[in-house]
Amino acid sequence: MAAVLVGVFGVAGALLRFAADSWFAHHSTRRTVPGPGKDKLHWPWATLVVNVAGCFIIGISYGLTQRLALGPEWATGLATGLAGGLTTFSSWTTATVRLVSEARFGSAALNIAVNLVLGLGAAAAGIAFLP
Amino acid sequence: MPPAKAWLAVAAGGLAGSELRYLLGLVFPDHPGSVPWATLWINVVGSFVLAALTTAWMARPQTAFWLRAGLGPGLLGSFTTFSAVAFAVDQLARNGQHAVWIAYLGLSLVLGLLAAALGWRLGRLAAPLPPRTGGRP
Repeated sequence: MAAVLVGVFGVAGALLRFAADSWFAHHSTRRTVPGPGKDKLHWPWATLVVNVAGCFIIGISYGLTQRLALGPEWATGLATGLAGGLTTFSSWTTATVRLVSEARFGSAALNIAVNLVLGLGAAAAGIAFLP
Repeated sequence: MPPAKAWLAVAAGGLAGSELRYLLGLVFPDHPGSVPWATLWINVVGSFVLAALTTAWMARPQTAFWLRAGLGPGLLGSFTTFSAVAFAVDQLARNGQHAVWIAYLGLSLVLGLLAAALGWRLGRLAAPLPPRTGGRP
């Protein structure tokens, strides 16, 4: 049962993340070098948004399923499936390496720091919200 | 909006990536109070593969979008996880296991970034960029 929930929630998380990727790709620039025009340089906003949201979800997953009197397989589905599928580590590291390859060292460092600080904060907030 | 084929590929990749991560967690369970090794290696391997594919696809932009979406955001995006890292760090810190959470976070960062950097370079080697005018010697 847990495996089914992980699969269903994992697909939902992946589709939500892809939707966020697509939305930010459409509403921001893919510019990689500074130049004339108002366009700002690309920055991995979509990954930050899904990682912070997913950290909050994993934080509340255990408290939420307990309050709703759902079995532990639902906590696994929410934590491993939804939060795990929504968040991504590989896009985070790859985007950081990409920023370094473009000699944007400040942006790369900021990408690491902001994901960590907001992600850990969101997880703690989720736990505090529904202990 | 990406075409339906891309969404389907992301769903299929997301299913495979999530189940594979879940399965590895069952086979290599975490021990309370120690570094969650399964998640660590999942994230390191996933970072390597995604970075390698990214530069390989940069060199081969004709690669079908649905295939890139299914393997990148779908399979590898779902296989690797950020939330499990944040949650485990939070729990280890709450239990006062400071050496463990610092080691886990540090190893995840250093090995994940090294793996991505290595993959980034190897992906370029595997699919050399087409010669640019006035490009590399």
